[in-house]
Amino acid sequence: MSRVGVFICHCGANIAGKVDVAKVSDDAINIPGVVYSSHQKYSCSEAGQKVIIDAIKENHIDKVVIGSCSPKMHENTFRKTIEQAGLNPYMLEIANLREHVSWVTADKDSATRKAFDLVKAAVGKVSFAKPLTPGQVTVEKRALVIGGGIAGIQAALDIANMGYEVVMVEKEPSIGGRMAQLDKTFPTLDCSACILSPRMVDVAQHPNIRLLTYSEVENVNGYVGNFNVTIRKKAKFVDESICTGCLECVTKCPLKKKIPNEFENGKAPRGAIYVPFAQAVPKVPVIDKEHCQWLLSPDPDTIEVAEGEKKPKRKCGVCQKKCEQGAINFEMEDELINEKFGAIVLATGFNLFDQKKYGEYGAGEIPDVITGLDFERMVNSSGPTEGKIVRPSNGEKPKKVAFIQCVGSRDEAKGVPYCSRICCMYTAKQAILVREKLPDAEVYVFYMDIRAAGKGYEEFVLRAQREYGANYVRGRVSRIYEQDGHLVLKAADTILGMPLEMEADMVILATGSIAREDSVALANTIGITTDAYGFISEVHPKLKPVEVPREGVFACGAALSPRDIPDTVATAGAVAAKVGVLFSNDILMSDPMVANIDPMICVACGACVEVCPYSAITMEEFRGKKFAKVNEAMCQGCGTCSAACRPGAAQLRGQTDEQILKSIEAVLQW
Amino acid sequence: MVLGATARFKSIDVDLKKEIDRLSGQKVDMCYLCGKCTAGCPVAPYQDIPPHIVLRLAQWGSSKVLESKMIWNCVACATCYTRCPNDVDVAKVCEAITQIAKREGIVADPVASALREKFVESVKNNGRVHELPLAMAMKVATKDYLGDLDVGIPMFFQGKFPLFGHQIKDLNNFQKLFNSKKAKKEGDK
Repeated sequence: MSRVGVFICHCGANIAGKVDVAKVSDDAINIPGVVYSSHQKYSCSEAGQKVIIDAIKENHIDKVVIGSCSPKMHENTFRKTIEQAGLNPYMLEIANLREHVSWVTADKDSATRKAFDLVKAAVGKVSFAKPLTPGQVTVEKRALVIGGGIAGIQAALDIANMGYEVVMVEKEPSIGGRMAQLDKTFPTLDCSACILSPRMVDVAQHPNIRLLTYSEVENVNGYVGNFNVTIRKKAKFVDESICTGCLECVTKCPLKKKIPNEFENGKAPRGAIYVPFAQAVPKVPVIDKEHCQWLLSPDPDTIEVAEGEKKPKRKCGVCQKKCEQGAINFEMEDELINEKFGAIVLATGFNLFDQKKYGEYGAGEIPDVITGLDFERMVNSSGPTEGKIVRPSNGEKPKKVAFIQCVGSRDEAKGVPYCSRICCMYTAKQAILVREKLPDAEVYVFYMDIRAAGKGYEEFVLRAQREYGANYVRGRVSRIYEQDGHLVLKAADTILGMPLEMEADMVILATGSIAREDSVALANTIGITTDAYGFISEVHPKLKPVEVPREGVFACGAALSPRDIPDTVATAGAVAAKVGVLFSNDILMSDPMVANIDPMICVACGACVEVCPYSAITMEEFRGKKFAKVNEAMCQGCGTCSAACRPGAAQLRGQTDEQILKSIEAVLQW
Repeated sequence: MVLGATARFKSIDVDLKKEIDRLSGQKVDMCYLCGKCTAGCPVAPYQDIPPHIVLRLAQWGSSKVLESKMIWNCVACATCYTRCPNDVDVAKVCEAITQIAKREGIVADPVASALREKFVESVKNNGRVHELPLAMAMKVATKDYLGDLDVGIPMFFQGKFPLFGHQIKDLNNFQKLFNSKKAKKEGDK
């Protein structure tokens, strides 16, 4: 018979305010197997932990139940505590009396009853706990950074500068991400490309960084310190090792004015062979196989023709003829790369809300209603208008420019109740740019609230208003329509409490940030979760802001939630620090609470092999007997196999069937 | 004053806004419309529009602001100015707008306007205000002869309305203030 000690924590008034802790503690002593029971104000404090250690020693307690907050919070703390008292750290069970009882139960009596039930269950369960010992795994000190925007660039450079090897995977033909598309940055108005390009070059030239552009992560297996990752390197049809970046091919592509360039937000064309922008890194063009005439035309070898007739040739192929280096290779195929990494960094960034969802603002059909990103490209000297601010409808300079904030932000009806955090600032910046380039133009900004919480941000918005004369009007615009070559805005001035109508030549919609459309798929590939909007969920918003629920995987930047460049760079640096901490270990302790299959009971039905989401179970054979075996390093302890196993051979250590049944029994019996 | 069903502001009227700025010595664009002036204003609860709306209309340069009673009834206590986070002297803004309104022939509160005129007249003549003639002039101006008598008569017997007024010592010198070039220039406008 085990000797169980029960410790009930007040958690200040958090638990004691709703649960009669003294009664629970007094009653607990009567539970069979319990030899000691007490309650105290803060069990997690140093003094509280000492009380537990002393009680264990004095009363020869060998198993411990602590009624406190969630095990997510302090299970590790108390495991260390009982270890100090000489017990195996896994001889501990936490009854969650805070999140599961006091915080969610209004009535004191029922809270106390429920608390006692949970304590009983915990005692029942811990009575059958067995000592566990963690295993050891080595750490592969290489990091994979997914995403080559400013977040990925910063994280990769920081990790590489610590002396660790980094592989950066970028989906697009060039790194640079969203920041490369921007013209100026708030609140200092320094040029985005000027501060970004040197870092892009640093990434390309860093001896510890290997850059894989036009590539995507296909599969992630393994566990912290030992991830096996499959990367698809899409065929560029241009041999990177030979190409000199002369771009002769790009200028000669017959489709060069035909395909909308994604980098220019579709407002300027590119060819089928292209580099997305002038400062692209690497400066190697890629051939878009969706559009290239050579690749789309049928392969002559597969066509059967009547004798004497000529086989049709492939179309075009101009780039191949023009390339003096002979770098164009139409035979190139996607390449699958398998590599091992110790840590994975997600820096996958964000998308912008689609203006088409705002029918009241013309749903993208009115040419003079553009988005903030369109404007960034327009005002940029290497953009489609070479930096001139003009009305897309007629190419004339606008005399009146209106900005509308919160388009796709703080709009529950459109599924985006959150604030995108960047639009107030980028609108103020764009208002300044309009007034700088077109001093005679009037600028109106329709806003709901101005959220300028950042260093120098409030001052920046006030500068836009006072120094640059941007007229801010509080109120959301209801509708935009065209009339006599102008746009008419039906709006309101909510300070005056009045509707108002205003004419404008051009409207810029401050579209908000949304998660990337493939963020959920990527999260599934990696085995992590996203929030309701598709942004990656962190472990704890305050205390673990860059960790995600799969150990060894970290996330930074706008992949987590909408954020601006300073916050993105800060989280990227934080991620690098976390990777550095992980890589400072040569050996990691693995969680012993994993599945184990008893080969004597196993009937080799294979049900567990099929259900295991981590492919951690394989079929083995020993002296003619087949049985399933768990790779304990790969097992994440989810317990699916244990539920699927009919004979009960698969058991999750620390959560065995016996323990679970005993805890149910305990609630029902005593 | 009613603001009107829909304000069809095509644009900001920069001229009116600049004139208000010039006469008041303030920059109405400095106001970010927090409403603290209205919150502290002792007369705002009795007016057609509160002070921050006066400022908002001034920012638009809307001539609607000239029709407001608030601008006339501001008692220039400067509570607004004392507490304004942006150092905007709303009292001065109101005063400046009354000047423009008067010039345009829009007097939303004739009593307040008359009091102002008679008060300045009295001060101009005596170097200080003489209450009895001022009160009587107001009676004539407003044609309200019996109102306030319940207050006025006890005040009279307590000596608050002396029959003979006093003049200040150096009246001539004081009156130069009214005849200065600058004062004349503004008066002509």
